[in-house]
Amino acid sequence: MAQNNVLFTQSGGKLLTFLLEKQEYGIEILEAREVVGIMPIDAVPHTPNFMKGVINLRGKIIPVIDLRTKFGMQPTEPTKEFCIVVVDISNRLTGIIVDFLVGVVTIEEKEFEETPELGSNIRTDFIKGMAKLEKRVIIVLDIKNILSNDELVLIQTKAK
Amino acid sequence: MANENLRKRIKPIRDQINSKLVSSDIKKLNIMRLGEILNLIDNLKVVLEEENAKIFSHAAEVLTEFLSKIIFEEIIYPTGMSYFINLYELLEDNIDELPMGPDSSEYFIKTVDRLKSMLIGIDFSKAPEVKIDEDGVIQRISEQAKQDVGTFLPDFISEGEDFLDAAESKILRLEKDPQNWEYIDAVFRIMHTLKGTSGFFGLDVIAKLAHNTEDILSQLKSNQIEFSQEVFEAILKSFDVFRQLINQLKDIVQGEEPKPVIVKQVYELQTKCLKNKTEQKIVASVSQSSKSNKLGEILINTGQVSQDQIEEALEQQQKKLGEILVEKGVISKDAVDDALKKQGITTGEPVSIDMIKIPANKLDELLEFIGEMVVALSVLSQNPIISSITDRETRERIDQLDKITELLHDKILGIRMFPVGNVFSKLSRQVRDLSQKCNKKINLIIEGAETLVDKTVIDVIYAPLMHLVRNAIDHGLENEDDRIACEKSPEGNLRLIAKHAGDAVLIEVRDDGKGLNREAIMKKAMEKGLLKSGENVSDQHLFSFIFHAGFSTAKEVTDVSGRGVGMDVVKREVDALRGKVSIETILGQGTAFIIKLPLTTSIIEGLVIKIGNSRFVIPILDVNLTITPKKEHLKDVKERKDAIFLLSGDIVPIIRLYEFYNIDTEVTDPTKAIIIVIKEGEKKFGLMADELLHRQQIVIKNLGERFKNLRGITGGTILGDGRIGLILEPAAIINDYRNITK
Repeated sequence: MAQNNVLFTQSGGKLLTFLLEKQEYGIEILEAREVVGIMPIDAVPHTPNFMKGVINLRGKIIPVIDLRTKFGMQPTEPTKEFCIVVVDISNRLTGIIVDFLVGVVTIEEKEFEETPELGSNIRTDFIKGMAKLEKRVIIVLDIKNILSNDELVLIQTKAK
Repeated sequence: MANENLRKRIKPIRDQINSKLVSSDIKKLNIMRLGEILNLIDNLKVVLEEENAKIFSHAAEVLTEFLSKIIFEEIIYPTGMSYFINLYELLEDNIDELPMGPDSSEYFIKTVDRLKSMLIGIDFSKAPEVKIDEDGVIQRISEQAKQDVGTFLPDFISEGEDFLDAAESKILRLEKDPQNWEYIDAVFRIMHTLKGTSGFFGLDVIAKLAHNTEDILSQLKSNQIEFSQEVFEAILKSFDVFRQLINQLKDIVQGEEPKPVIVKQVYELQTKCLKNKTEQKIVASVSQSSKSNKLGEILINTGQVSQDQIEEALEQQQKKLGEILVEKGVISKDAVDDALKKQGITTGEPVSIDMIKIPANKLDELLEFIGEMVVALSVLSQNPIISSITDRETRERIDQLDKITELLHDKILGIRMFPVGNVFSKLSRQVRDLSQKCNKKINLIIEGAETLVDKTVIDVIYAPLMHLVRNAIDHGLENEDDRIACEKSPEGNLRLIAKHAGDAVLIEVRDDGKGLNREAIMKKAMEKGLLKSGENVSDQHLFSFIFHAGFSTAKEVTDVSGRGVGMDVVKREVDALRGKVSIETILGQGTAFIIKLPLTTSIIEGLVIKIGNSRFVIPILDVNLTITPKKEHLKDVKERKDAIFLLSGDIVPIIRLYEFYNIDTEVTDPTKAIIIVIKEGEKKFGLMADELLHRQQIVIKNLGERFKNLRGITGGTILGDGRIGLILEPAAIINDYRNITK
C-alpha cells in the first residue's frame, strides 16, 4: 500500500481520467501538467513505434507517446476529440495521446484496489491499481514506469 | 514604557544604517561606506548600553567586530557582507518584536554567541591546529554551520575559485619577475582573505594551508628565503590542493560523496620551504603604500633620467615631481605620462567595474528567447504578404525592427563572451609543470589573450587545448641537445594564439619542434587497417588519423602522453562545439593545430530540407553545394542502382536519407531529388533529400535525454510554421554510412 499512499496523501485521491478504446484510465493529478488539443506531431526516426514524435509546446520541444500502440491496441485515425496530456515526471515533460479527456475525479481509498488480476492485457507494472466507482471502473496507470527509458534504449542499441 | 522609549531613541540611527546598507554595493568593497556603518553601529551600541539592553548591545558589539574584520579584508567582502546584513536584520527583528530583557529570543542569543565564537576562530596570530591525515582529508561542515552558513558557503566556493585563479596568475608572473613585490602582496592578500573566510566557516584545513602559504610569502618578502623552484612548487601545489578542497566542499554542499584530498604532501612541501618556523613573524603587508613604486624610481629604472636629476628635482619639490622634470626640460611630458601610466598599472588594484553575478541559465534563457525573436522576424520578413508590401514607411519600420533585434542579439551574445586569456593562463601553468617534467626548456608565447569567445567555448576548450599542449611538449618539441644539433634555439617555442576570423574564432597551438612524421603515421595507419598499403593519401587525410582513438606513434608511453587517448578527445570536443581542427606541419620545423570555432553555438544558419513528411536542417557550414544530378552522371555500384554520381571528376556516394531514417517518400530517383554535397576531409558525400525548402537561421534546441543517442541528429529547432525540424550532423551520418558499407 505504501506507494499508493502518495496517491491519497499528495494528490488527495484526485485522478485525471481519459479514454483509450472506450476504457477509462486515470493518472495522478499531480503528474499531469496540462492538456492540449491534438496538433501536428513531427516524427523522429529510429525510435520505437509508440514514440509518435515531437511537438512544439510553446517553444519547447517535447516527445509524444501513443499509449494505444504502447498497450498493443488497434491504431486509429485521430479524431478532433483526441488530446495530448502533458505529464511531468521528474521535471521532464512528455505528451501522451488519449482518445478523449473525461475529467477529474476524486476517489476514496476504499474504492481503490491495488494491481488486481484483471482481464486487461496491459503489463501489470504499468498499472498502479484500479478504482471501482459506481458504474465506472478506472484503471490507474503508473505513468513513471510507462515512460521509463528502458525500451527506448534497447531499440537504439539494436539500431547500432 | 521603557521599550518604546528605547525604540524611539534608536530609530534615527537605525534609519541611517538601513539607508547606508541599502545604498551600499554588495559586490564592491567600499571602505568609506563600511566605516560609516561601523560608526553608526557603534552609536547604536552606546544607546543600547545606556538603556541597559544588554543582549542587544552585546550583539551590536559583535557586529562591529565582524565589520572591522571585513574592513581589514580578513573576511571575503561579499560573503562576509551578506552574512553581516543577515545578522543585522536578525537584530532588528528582535528589537522590533521581542520584549527587552532577559527572556529575549533564545535563537537570537545563540546566533550572536555562535558568531562570536566564529570570530574567535579567525585569529590571525596563530594558525589553527590541524591533524594532517595520511590518507587524505575530508572536510567537515558541522550541521550547525550548514544550517547557518550553508547559504553563504556556495558564495565562498565560487569566490574561492576566482581568488585562486587570480592568485595563480600572479604567482606565475612573479616567477618571471621575482623583484615585483606587487605580485607577492597581491597573493598575500588573497591568502589572508582565504584564511580568514575559511576560518570563519570552520574550515581548518584550508585555513592552515593558507596560513602556511602566507608565511612563505612573507618570508620571501623579508628575504628570509629565496625564490627557488622549490618555493614556487610549494605555492602552486598549495593552490592545487585548495582547488581540490573547494571542489570537495562543492560535493558536500551538493550532497555528493566527497573525495578525500591528500594534504600531507603539500603540507610537507610548505614546511620544507619555511625557514626556521619558530622565528617566523608574520609581516602583514596589506598596507597600500608598499604596493606602488615611486614615480622617480620608475623613471630611473627606465633610464630616462638619472638619480641625481631626480634628487635635484626632489629638493625643490613643491609641485609634482613629473611637472618639475618637464619644466626643466629633462624629459618630455609624454615620457612622464607613460611612466605615470605604468605607475597606475603597478598600483595593483584592477579597475573595478560594478558587477552583477547572475546564474548562467538565466542568460541562456534570455538568449534563447532572443534567438526565437530573430528567427520569428526572419520568417516574418520572408512571408509573401509582408514582402509584397511596398509602402515605404512600413518597410522602414520592419527594417528598423530587424536592426534592433540583431543589435539586441549581439549584445546578449556579448554578455556571454569572455577573453580566452583565462584559459591560456591556466595552460601556462601546465606548460610550466610539463617543461619541468619532460626536462625541456620552453618559451611560451601567448597572442590574442584578449580575444573574446563564447562562455560555452571557455568551459569546454581547456581540455582539448591541454591535450594539444601536452603533445606539443612531449612529442613535438625536442630536448635541448637535439635542438642545438638542428641549429635551433635551445629553448623550444610554443605559441598559443587566438584570433577572430570572420564569423569564427581561431585558436592555434604552434610549436617549432620536429613536426609530424609522415612515415610513422602511415605505418601505424596501415597497422591499424585504416589504410591499405600503397594507397595514395593526401597529407590532410593522413594526419587526420592521429585523431583516431588509440592512435599513437610514440614508442614509449610516458607519464605525459603517448597512450593515444587525447587527440580523439580533442576532435570530439571540438566537434561538439561545431568546430573543426586542422593540422599544419613541416618535418623538422614544427606543427600547428588550428581549431576553428563558430562565434556562437546557439544560433546557426541552416538549410531546411524535406524528406517525406519530415523536415530536417543541415548546418550551412557543413554544406559544400547542392545539386540535382543528371542521369548520365549516375553510376551503379555492384547491385546497387545509382549508388554514386560524378561531380566534376569526383566520385560522390549517395546516402539516401529516406533509407537511412526509414521514411516513406515518393522521391527515390536521384534525378528528381536534391543532393546536398558534404565534404568530409578530402572526400565528398551526397545526402539525398526530396526537396530543398529554404535557408534559415535556427535556434538549436536540446531534444532531451530521451533522444540522446539518435544517429546523426544533434538537436531540434522550431521552424517558421511552428513545426519541428531535426538538425542533422552530416559527419555522423557519413561515419555510420561508412560502417554499414564496409
